[in-house]
Amino acid sequence: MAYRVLIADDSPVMRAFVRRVIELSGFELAECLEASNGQEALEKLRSEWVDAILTDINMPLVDGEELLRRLANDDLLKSIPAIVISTDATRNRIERLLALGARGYVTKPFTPETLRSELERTLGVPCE
Amino acid sequence: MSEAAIDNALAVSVREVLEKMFFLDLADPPDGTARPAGVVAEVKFEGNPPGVFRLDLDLAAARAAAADFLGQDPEELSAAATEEVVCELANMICGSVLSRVESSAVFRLATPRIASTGELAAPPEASFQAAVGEGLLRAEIRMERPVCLETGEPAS
Repeated sequence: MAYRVLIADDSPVMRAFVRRVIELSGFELAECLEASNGQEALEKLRSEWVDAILTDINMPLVDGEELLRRLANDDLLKSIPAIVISTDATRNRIERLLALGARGYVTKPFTPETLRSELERTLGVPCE
Repeated sequence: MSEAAIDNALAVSVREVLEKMFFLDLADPPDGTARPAGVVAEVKFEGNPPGVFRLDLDLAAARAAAADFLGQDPEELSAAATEEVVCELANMICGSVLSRVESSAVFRLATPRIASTGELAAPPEASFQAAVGEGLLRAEIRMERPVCLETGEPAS
């Protein structure tokens, strides 16, 4: 089975990198959607279904924390698992985002294996 | 945290970020190497303590990093894409250093920006310089010290 993933990050080069790393990792990727902030992510999610969301924290308009809040309060979207990708590995931040509804947290720097493993764990992909 | 510990956190973070996300290995710079001149990115951060992180790369190192990060030929890269990747690199190293220095604190990193060449306004707490491929990289971090009373307690 191949999966559809949405990457929310205000940096185009970071979105391109995450997409490349997913492909390099061997993760079964059907399609990769992109959004430059949380607002754009929510708008895309209204018309396109995805299996998982990978989101940055610091973004304009609607940041990663607010995106998690809005997903959690949306009956249609709350079942889509969101994984935070961030440079911030401080304990307080990780606990706060998991409490807001993030299903996973990947700290930069990360390897392709780490990202694949977190995506598969979150999606409940059976181990090979 | 001591300056030696910050020095170590900076060196470990630079190596880890470049190896894991840029697929680049570092080497010791030649003796007497000057500060690299090419692209400079700066990240200011708020927290306890606040401060500034600065990353200097010469053009060879900046292009090598951007090409590896994006999986493109260095000749295909625009100056804007190279600068954006250098900003991302600075953001990742800064976040990694702060997480090592104060794992239980909360920091807020400002958006990285391209800065002018030259020294930091005040001497850095820690610096790290290395050779990256054919180029050079220098990372520096400066943290504001809390104002202390004569008792040694931080001022409120």
